[in-house]
This record gives sequence, structure tokens and C-alpha cells, in this order.
Amino acid sequence: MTLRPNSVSGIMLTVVLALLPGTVLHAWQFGPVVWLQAGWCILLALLMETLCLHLRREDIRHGLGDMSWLVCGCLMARALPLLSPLWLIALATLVALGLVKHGSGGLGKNRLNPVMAGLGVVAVCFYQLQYPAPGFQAPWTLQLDIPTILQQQLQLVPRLQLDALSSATPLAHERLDAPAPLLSWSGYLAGGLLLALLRVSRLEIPLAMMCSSVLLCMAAGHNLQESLHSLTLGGYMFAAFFIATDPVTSPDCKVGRILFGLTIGVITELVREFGLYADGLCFAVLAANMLVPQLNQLARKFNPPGQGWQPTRE
Amino acid sequence: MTSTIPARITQQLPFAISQLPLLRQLFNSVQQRGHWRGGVRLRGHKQLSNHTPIRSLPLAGQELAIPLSHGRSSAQPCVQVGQRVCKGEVIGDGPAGTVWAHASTSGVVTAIKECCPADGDQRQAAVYIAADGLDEWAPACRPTTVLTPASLAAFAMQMGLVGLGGAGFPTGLKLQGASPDTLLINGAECEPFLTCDDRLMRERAGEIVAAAALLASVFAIGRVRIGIEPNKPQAIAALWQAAVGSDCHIEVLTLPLRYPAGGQPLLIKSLTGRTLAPGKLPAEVGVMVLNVATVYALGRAVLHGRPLVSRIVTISGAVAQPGNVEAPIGLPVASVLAAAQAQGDGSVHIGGPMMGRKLADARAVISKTTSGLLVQAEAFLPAAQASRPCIRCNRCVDACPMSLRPLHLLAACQQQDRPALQQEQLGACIECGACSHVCPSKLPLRDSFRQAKRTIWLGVRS
Repeated sequence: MTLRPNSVSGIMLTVVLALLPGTVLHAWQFGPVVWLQAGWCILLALLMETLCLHLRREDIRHGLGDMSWLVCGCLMARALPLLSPLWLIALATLVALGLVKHGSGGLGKNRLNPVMAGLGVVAVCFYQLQYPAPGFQAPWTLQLDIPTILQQQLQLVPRLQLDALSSATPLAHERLDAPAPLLSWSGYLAGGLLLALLRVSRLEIPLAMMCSSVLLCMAAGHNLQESLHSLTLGGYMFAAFFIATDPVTSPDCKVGRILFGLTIGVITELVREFGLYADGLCFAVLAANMLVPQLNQLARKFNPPGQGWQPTRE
Repeated sequence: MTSTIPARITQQLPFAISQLPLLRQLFNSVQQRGHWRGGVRLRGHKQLSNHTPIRSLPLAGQELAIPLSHGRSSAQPCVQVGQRVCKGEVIGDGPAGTVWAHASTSGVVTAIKECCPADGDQRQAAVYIAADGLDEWAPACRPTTVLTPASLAAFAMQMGLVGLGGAGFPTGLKLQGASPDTLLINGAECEPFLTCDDRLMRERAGEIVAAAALLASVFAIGRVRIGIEPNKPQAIAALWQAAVGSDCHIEVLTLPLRYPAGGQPLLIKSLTGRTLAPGKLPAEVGVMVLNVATVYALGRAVLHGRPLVSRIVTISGAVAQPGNVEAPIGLPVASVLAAAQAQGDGSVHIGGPMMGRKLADARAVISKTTSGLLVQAEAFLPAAQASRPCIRCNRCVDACPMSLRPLHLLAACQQQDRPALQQEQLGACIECGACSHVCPSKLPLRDSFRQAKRTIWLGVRS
């Protein structure tokens, strides 16, 4: 157990490390845009954190030392759609760090997951600006080279048209049930299990999330294979292991965490089945975040402090 | 034959599950009798000081300052300056309920003034004795009447016996009016670095067992159990051997190797399966808990007529001669360090790293509860780091042996919210420091709880 990180910065760096396998797989399929976007996100997160610490008159070196900005940047890079323009990334970072995290008093005080709040604002306000992915399975940005990506991110040239993209890449619209060509979910799964082994995060939330999603998906008339396949789509694994497990915005005990995971899974599945937005996970996590105090209250009934040490009645 | 296979599987499955750390974490609410959850695994550092036998120190030319008070009881000096006293002679006495003080070596009383005990908060009145180096014993003082629980309790007070495990609670008060069915002897020594109880059990197992048998017969106790952490195999073996040779039925049991296995509620849970609810005394659940060194001292007092004038002190860390010394009460810490040839000029830590404290005053003296000295503590203990905000990682919840939620307790402490503190059961906290140890944000959890118990708790009540 000596590998277990025992400081806040150690925990944060472990999370970043655990994100690597998924990110590498993602970048392998989607091209250099993944790394460029991660670079921008981390840079902007660093700047925003410094600015917020300065405005709050905190010790900047001590504040940056917790490395939470690095985790926020890395998570934001994966959560935002690829090829997001720079100002959109900046806006999401402003919401995440400026409003949600430092606005509620800094590290550990926020009730909402900062990354999901940033993504949620961007998704609701600028829905038209986002690129809807042409197909679930198409690594459509792989062909783009770095100058083109930079031009797109900095918006120096007109936005790429979807048609141009679709014709440039072989799409596989009709082959949804073919073996999934997108593999990054397995990287995130591996990273999440690594975090659980190092006792940085706990498995209750992802397991409960996946169980409820699969069951609800099957109740909606899909078969088991399709239901399991839906877990690999749209960053589900990423959100399950890296977003929902954020200890700050999840409940404090096991019963609460299981209920929390179930809530996220159910809302995700409902949004995916009936919703307008593609970002079911984002809204599910935010909704479940709001329920955390109630879940904690409920869980305390099952698990009062000092349990097992009550006076025994003879 | 086929019917045996499912039975075997069902028997072994829980065991197999309990061996998988990940699953065990998930299902850790499954509890057996005598099991307690939480606690932390600590590196013992016992090998630094447990190889050499207990040594004694030359005392000629030393000036000892023997504190007169223990907790709330304080003895009145009954010697004059200039008077010659022998080792074991009463130098401070008082009415019933007072722990008497005894000269810890022979010599001349030089002053009666304040001194600073190594592990105390305040300065205390003390008798200063210039040792003559003869170490001459006063006549043995044996109990005058037939031993009954009451007379043994009174005798323990007169022999200056206090709990040597750390809290220093007068042993006589513990024995008073108790009618336990089980005697538990605490040889856990779960604090890292300390080996004083380990060496004592290895070298003086016979005396410990004799004292335990005596206690058992006086109190008519049928069951005597000694709990030891499994990292002290020689001590366990020595006590086994002694227990086999004894008439009294004494069981030597191992405790879980988790700090704080020696904490009173946890020891009682491990050894008897009984639950000591917060605020209750061990006597209320029918047990008597004594530290192994206290039992030894009680045996010395009753069987040999020798009062408590010395204790075993572990010297560990950056010293040329680490190990355990039998230090007379009142010996200056500086002379103990000089005898062990302490190196470096770093700070000295008193007691173990979890419950102990930094040596505040260089002129401090060994008291009855000084269990160890860690020299050059900076090199062995994690450096104090600036604390960060709580990230609610829940590690403190997992570590708390009393199933409390330190993170919520801390929030309530910071807001001075008394109802919330009560709801979160601050009173159940045993101040073991496991939460502070595991906190990645280095929050001063234990210190806040200790503070809150003293100020918010008592302040509002008075």
C-alpha cells in the first residue's frame, strides 16, 4: 500500500496518470486534435486558477500546489467536443473554475462538478456551435493536421463544413453493431480500475451507474448486447470512472454513493432515450450532485455515526 | 460424497472473499464478533530498539525531580529539604484517593519546587533529590491486612501506582469497587517506535504472569487474557511459556495488527467481543483493563513491597545506543539522552508518534507516563505540512475505529456547532489520531477534536 498517494497533489497526479491510457487511445483514433485540445484546456485552467487565487487573495503557490487545476484541465479536454473553438474552452473553464469552484469557496466546497457545469453551460448556450459527430463510430478528425486544427480552434478560417468532413472520412453509419472501433472506453476503464486499486476512487458509483443504465436500457426494449454496448458510447466510461467519482461532489458513505450512481445511470439513460441533448451524462451528474445532501441525510439513517458502538441492552 | 462439496464451497467462499482486498473494501460492513473496522497499518520501527536487554543507568551525581501530582490528585510533600531519603521512601502523601510519591533513588532532598514532566502540559510541584549513587532501598512495604479488592486498591494508591500505558489514571481508582469477570492485560504496544512493553514482556514474563494471577485471585476473576500485537513473537512466546507454568488460567491472544489495537474499546472488543459504548467504563461491561507494565508494577508492589519508582523508557531514533532503559521517575530527560549518546541537535519526541508530543522544555524529567524518547524526530516522523481544504475523500471515515465521520466532526468543530457535534458523537472519539494520519489534506483533525472536547464541550456546560 506504499503506492497509495497520501497527499492531495499525489491524488490529483494519480488521477491524471490514470487518464492517460484512455487519452492515448482516444488520440490514436482521433488524431493530434486530442493533444492540442488537452494542451489548451490545461493552459487555460492554469491561468484561470491563478487568476481566481489572486482575486481571492490566497497564496498562489500553495493554491496551485494542489494540482486540482491540472485534473480539471485534463477532464475538461476530454469532456468538451473535439475541435471546440478556443473561446468556448475558455468559457467552459471560466464557469468550471471561476464560478463553480472558486465561486463556492475553493477546493472541496463546490456542490456541482466543475467540469460538468462548464460543459453543461456550453452545451445549453452554444448548442449550434458544437460539431455534432457525423456518426457514433467515425473518428472524423483523424485526417486533420495540426495547422488546420489550430486554425479551427483559433477561428482564423471559416468553420469546416460537416459535409466536407463526412466526405473526407469513410463513415460507418449502418454498421453500429460491428465490433466497436472506438476503443478509448477500455483505456478509461483500465484507468478507473487503477484508481480503485490505489484506493483513490471507489467502485460503488461506477458499478451502480452501469447497473442502472443497463437495466433501464433493457427495460426500454434493447437486448443485453445493445445495452452493454451503450456503456461504451459517448464517454460513458470516462464519466463513470472520472467524473462521477469526484469525492467532493459525491456522497460520503457507501449507501449514498450507490444511490448516487443509480441516479446518474437512470437520468443518463432517460436523456439518451428521450432527451434533446446528446449530453445526458452531463445533466445526469449535475442533477445527482444537487441530490448529494439529501442522499447524505438518507444514508445517515442507515449508517449513523458510531455504529457498532451503541450500548448493548442486556 | 457429492453433498460435501457445496458445503466446503460455502464454508470457504466467505474466506476467499475476505482475502480479496477490493471486495473486502466493498463488503467491509460484514463484521464478525470481536472484529472492529477501521484503524491504520503503521510501520512499526520496532527493530530500532528491541534487540538489546533493558539497561539501568548510573545515578551518581544526578539531581532527580519527582513530580508529586498525577492528574487531579496531588500529594503533599512529607520530607524536608536536607533530609536523606532511601529509594522507595514516601516523599509525598495525602488522604485516601491520593497517589503517593516515592523517592526513586537514595539521596538528599535539595528542594521542593516546580518541575516540568516530559509529557505534561503544566509544571508541577516536585521533590528534588541529589542522588548519592548508592541506590539504597528503604525497607519493603507490604500490605498489612488480608488482600481484598478494597485493600488492594488503597495499597495501590499508597504505592504510587498509575496506568503506565499513557493516560496515567491512578490504578487504585480503577481497582476500587470493581467486580469484573474478566481481566484484560494490554500488551498491544501499537504505537510505532515504542518497545518498552515488548522488552518487559520478553524479560519479565514470569513476574507479569504472577501479578496477573494475584489480581485474578484477589478479584475472583475466572478469565485472564493478555492481548499482544502479532509483531512481537518473542514476547508472545515468553508469556505463553510463563502462563503454562502458572496455576492461573491465562490466555495469550494476538490482536489485529492495526493501530490503535491497544485503544481501550478496541482491546475489549478484540479480546472479549463486548462493546464498550462511549462514556461507559470498562467495569460496566464486566472487564478490568490494565497495561502490562502496570500489572508488572502492581506485582512488584504487592509481592515484593516495592513502590513504583522507575519505568521502562524506550530510546529510539538517532542514538548510538538505542534500546530500553529502566529510568527512575524524575530523572532529567537530558541525562537519559546523554547516557544513550544522542546524536544531532534535532527535536526530541516524547512517547509514540501518534499519541506523543514534542519535548517542550529541555529541563523536563521522566514521569510515570513517559514511555519513550525519539531522538532527531525530524528524520523519522513526517514533516508537518500546511493543511489544505478537505476534499471529502472519506479516508478518515474508513480509518476511524469508532465508526465516526471525522470530516463532518471537523466541519462542526469549525462552526462551533454543539448540536452537530453531539449528533456526530464527538464524545465517542478516542483521540487516536488515525484520521489525522491518513488525511491527504493534512488537516489537524485529532487536535481539533481534542480542542473541541475541552472548549466547546466543557465551556457550554459550565
